[in-house]
Parts: sequence; structure tokens; C-alpha cells
Amino acid sequence: MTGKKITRLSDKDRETFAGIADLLIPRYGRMPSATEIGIHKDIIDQVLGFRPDIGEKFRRGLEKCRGKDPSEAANRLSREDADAFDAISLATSAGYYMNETVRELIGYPGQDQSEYDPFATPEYLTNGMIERVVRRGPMYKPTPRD
Amino acid sequence: MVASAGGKGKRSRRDEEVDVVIVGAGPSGSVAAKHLSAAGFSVVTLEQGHWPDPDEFPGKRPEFELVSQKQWHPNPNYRDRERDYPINTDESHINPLMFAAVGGSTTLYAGHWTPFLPSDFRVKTLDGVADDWPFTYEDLLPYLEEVEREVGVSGLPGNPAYPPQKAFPTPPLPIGKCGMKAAEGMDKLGWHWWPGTNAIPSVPWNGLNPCVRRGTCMTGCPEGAKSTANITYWPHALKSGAKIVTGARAREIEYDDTRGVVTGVVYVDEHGREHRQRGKVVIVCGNGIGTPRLLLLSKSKTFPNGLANSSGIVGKRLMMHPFSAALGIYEDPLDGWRGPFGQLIESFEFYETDEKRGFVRGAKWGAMPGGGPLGVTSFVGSKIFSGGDAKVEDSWGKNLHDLVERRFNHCMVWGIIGEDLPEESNRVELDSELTDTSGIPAPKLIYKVSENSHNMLKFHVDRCVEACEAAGSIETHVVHQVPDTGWHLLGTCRMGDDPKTSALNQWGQAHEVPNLYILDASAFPTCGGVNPTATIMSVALRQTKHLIAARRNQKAA
Repeated sequence: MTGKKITRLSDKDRETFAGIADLLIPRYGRMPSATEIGIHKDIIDQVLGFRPDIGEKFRRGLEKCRGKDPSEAANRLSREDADAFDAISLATSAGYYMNETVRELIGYPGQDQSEYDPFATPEYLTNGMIERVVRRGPMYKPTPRD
Repeated sequence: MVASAGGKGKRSRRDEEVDVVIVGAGPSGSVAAKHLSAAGFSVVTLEQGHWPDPDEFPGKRPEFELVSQKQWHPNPNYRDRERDYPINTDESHINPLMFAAVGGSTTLYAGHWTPFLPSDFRVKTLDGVADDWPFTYEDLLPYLEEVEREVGVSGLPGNPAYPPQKAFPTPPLPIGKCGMKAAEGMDKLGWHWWPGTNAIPSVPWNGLNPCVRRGTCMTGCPEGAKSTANITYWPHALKSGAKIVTGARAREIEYDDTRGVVTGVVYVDEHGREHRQRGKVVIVCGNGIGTPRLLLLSKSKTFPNGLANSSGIVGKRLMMHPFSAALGIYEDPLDGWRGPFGQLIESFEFYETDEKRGFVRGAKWGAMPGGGPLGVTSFVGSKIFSGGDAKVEDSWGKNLHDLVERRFNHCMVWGIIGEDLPEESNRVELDSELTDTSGIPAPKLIYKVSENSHNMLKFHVDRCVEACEAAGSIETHVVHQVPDTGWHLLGTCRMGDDPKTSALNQWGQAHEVPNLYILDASAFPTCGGVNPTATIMSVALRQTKHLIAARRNQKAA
């Protein structure tokens, strides 16, 4: 990721964010928690660099959650300032699923390219599926004659 | 910035009168520019956006899903780029989507290539509603076939939903596991389906590269493999001498009350400077919102309510294709992020009217993949990011992991495009306060989804769920009448035979102004139940060829 870095978060902001991020995305089975991949470190800086429009709401949300129990704070924020909660939750999920380790674990290579032979005969032409559609005949209403 | 065959920086004489001034370099304006310049007309096109830069498209980068929700969002009000104009949607059920650039909104479209069917041109005769078109499917077919070669359409010939026509220029794209899953359900039910026809070539074609199935069509194709007019039309137009001025916002079409003709277009450049481009003929191709906006802005002694608007029809009958979707989750992995993010397969099973269903007309379905991990948690069938009474942990925490595990790579979406019947109460006006960054009054929409559309989408959603289940879904979700889906903007300057009820004749020529033409979807009397780009471009070609053929009789400024 090469997102443009903007004003860095303070250590207190990162600590508050870490608590909420792990509430939103905890360790579960083979999947790491948000902080285990470092969501509260460089990743969040990069995410906010890609989406400067959510920065103010993100910081506002952290301000309201500072020093509180993450679950209690996140639930209150979700009810009372949905825009701020949406900014924090979007930043968390986006940063998490942009991470290469996470992508590997869920089997997502990113929007990669895929080779194919445009002249290969598709399966639906040989297994009878298209033939059954064609056999049912034309289905359009023709232009009425005047 | 002025572009011509001499290079993108070459300047033209701004005071020269050209044969044709075109407003808008989207699909219809580009068709006109290419063919008029090839026929020897001097052409200047004014485009408020810029040339798209494929390196800016985010599809190859990890942040693709994140920025597609803002910087590359199709809603200009949300995207809020300087070249976008704002639209007041306070009184609209649907948000209009568009993009200002050479190539227009096709920069972000999905490339579904679904021409109108014969019945779409005869809605009044067949179903007793709305209006017939002034020409037929058969009249338009030769132009459709020519456009399909220029565009580089990929598809399988022989679709029984359509009358026979020439084969598509490039072979069909793979439908992939996701398309095959959708097809299995349709096959089981005995319902129509066909491999998707798309404006995305499978082999190199007319300057386009072949699709590599990256699946990021709707944020611009980084491969240059989705057919957009900046690639398929403008190189030819520039070679024939056409000029294009980018960053040019049209503010007014000037009308000579004495002679009864338009004389050119006033536009504002990016530095706020005003210019005048004179032309013998003016063609407007600004889409179903931008075009009536410009006409309503162009007031004169003869036309105090907007140019060519004595009928009062300009801006009225806005159609936007209300959209619903059904999502199926399957045990099998479906490569759900893989493209094309055009349509994998399509269905016209319920396209024609059956009065027993409680509505008239019908809809086309297109099967699409579910997208990446952010897409499957927030796009369709889920509002996991919403607040309400639910606890945060209900949608997040372990439940988020479970949701992504269940859906990501296992999703197929049926999208429904239903015919939106024209109603004069659905309309575009000029906003009394809102302006764009050039100070030009912005449009305001008044639009309600009709009962016919509501009933139609409900019926189709229920059938889509049946199709998902027939294909073996373990879970289905429905989203009904999604607001951010106004991709198709049609009907606001309709064609017709009667000047009292229509703005244009069958050639897109204004009844009241002989040298003013509108070649975009504003001219459509009805909107069909399909994605309209194929028909928009075909109609533009038909009208352009008529203008060329009738050039000796053209009254000009």
C-alpha cells in the first residue's frame, strides 16, 4: 500500500482505536485480530491517506470513545454518532482486508488478471444447457404489423 | 484544453464558426463526432470533463474497494470532484449516477450490452401505455450492427430473446463459475438465460485490449479493455479533423430570435473564463439530466421557458430504471471477485407483459459476481454497517468473520433492470439556489418510483430468489429499490410526431429549432427494461447519418 500519509494519530488515539478495532475484528479461528496485523500502526495511516474524507469523523469518534470500555463506547457511538462509527468501522475493515496475510487466509488474491482462451468451446455449448434454451424457440414479441 | 489530430495541446481559433458544435463527449456525442468528421464536417465538441487516465483507475491497487466507495463512486454528489456538477436529489427516490469525462459515464459503466427489443418501440400499441417510438426495432437494426463493430461487443449469437442479427465481432467472455452457477438455476427451472453480451471485447479490437477478467469495470478499466468512446471513437474523430475542448462547461445555447436558429454555445473554462463556440448546427448530448438543464438555461425572447420548449415537455418524463437485486450464497467457491463485472449471463424470461402479474412491461436480469471482501459485506443483501437497535457485536466481531467466510467467493447477484414508464411528474428542473463551481444553476430532480415499477421489481425479486434457490443457494438476500442506481437517465426531451407533446422529431431535430439536435437518451420516448447504451449509440448513429444525408437541406445558422 502506498497511501498518502496525513497528520499522524497520537499514541492515545492509536490505543483507543486498537481497542475498538479488536472489538470489531477479533482473533477468530485461523484469522488474526485487527491489531495482530498492525491495524493501529501504519495501516490506519495509509487508510486515512486513501480516504481523507473520513479523517475528521474518524478522529471525532475516537475522541468520544477515549478511556471507555471498547464495547460500551462503540455501541454508544453507533447509536449516537453513526457517521463517526461508520468511519471507524470502514477504516478497520478496509485496512484489515487490504492486508496481504488476511487476503491469503481468505483466499483473495486481489483483483488480479486471469488468462483464458477466447476461442475455447464453453462447457454450456457441449453439455446441452444452451441447446435447451434454443429449443424452446424465439421468445420476443415481434414488431406489430400496422 | 483543445485536442485535435495535431496533438492534445493544439489550440484552435475560438471565434471560427464550425459546421457542428457538439455538447458532451459521452457515447452519443462521440458517435456523432466520429461520423460527422469522417463525412467532412468541421466539428468541435465541448466536454466538461477530461481525458480519462487509465493509470488513475484503482483496479490494480489494494485500496480498490476502499476508494471505489468515494473517489470512484458513481454518484457525483458523493464523489464530489471539481468537474462534477451537483444535483439536488431531496425530492428523488433514486440518485442519478454519471461521470464527466471524454467517454462520459461509460468510464464507470459495467458494459452490459443489451439493445432494446422490438416490443420496446411499440409499448402503446402492445400494452396501451406510454408511447410508441417514431421508428421500429427493424429501422434501428442496421445502425446497431454497425455500432457493435465499432464498440467491439463480445457475445454468443443466436439468443432467442432477440430477432436474428449479425454475429458479434468478438467471442463471448467466459461466464466463469459464478455465471455457471446462475445458469444452473435457470436451466433447472426451464427459464431463459444466455451468456452475457458485453461492450468488453475478448480479443484485441479497435484500440481496445482484450478483457483480463480483473473485475473492476465500474471504477474504470486499467487494461483499456472496456469499450469507452475515448478509445473506440475519438482516435478516429481526431484523425478526421474533429476537435474537442475539455474542461468546457456549456452554460447556454444561443438563439437568434430573428432568424429562428441557434448560433452556438457559450461555455466556461476551468479558469472561469467565458467563451463562445459558434456553429451552424448544435447537437446536445449531455444525458437525460445535463441536456434538459442546458435547454432550460438557454432562455430567449422566443423561448422564455427554455430552448425548444414551447410544449413545456423539456425536463419532463424523466426515467431512471429503478433497480433491485437478489443475492445467492453457495457452498461452492465461485471466484466471486473475478470479472467481467459486466454481466456473466442475462435473462429475458419475464421481459414481456403478462397482465396476470399485476403490472405492465418487464425487466431484464443480469448475473454478476459478488465482489471482494468489502463488497460482500456491504454491497447487496446486508446492512452490517448500520446502527439502529442492533448491537455492534451482532454484525462485527466473530460474526463478521463468519459472514466473510460464508459469503466471500460464494456470492452471485442477480441485478434487475425494470422498465420505468414515463410520467410528466418525474422531472428535471433548475435549482433556485444550488450551482456548480462555475456558478451555473444546478439541476433539481423530482422523481418517484411508480406503483407499476414497484410491483414489477417485487415480482422479479421473488423470481430471482427462486432462481438462486434452484441453483442450490444456502442463503438468499434481497435489496429492493436501491437508491444509488440511477445509471440510466432518459426521456426528458422526447421524440415524437406532435410538437405539442414532444420536443424532437424522429431524427432528434428540435421541432421548433431546425439546426438544434439532441442525440442522447433524453430523446427516448420510453426506456425499455434493459441497460440503454447499445440503443443510445445506435440511435445516435441513425440520427447522425440522417443529418449527413440531408446536409444540403439543413437550415443552418
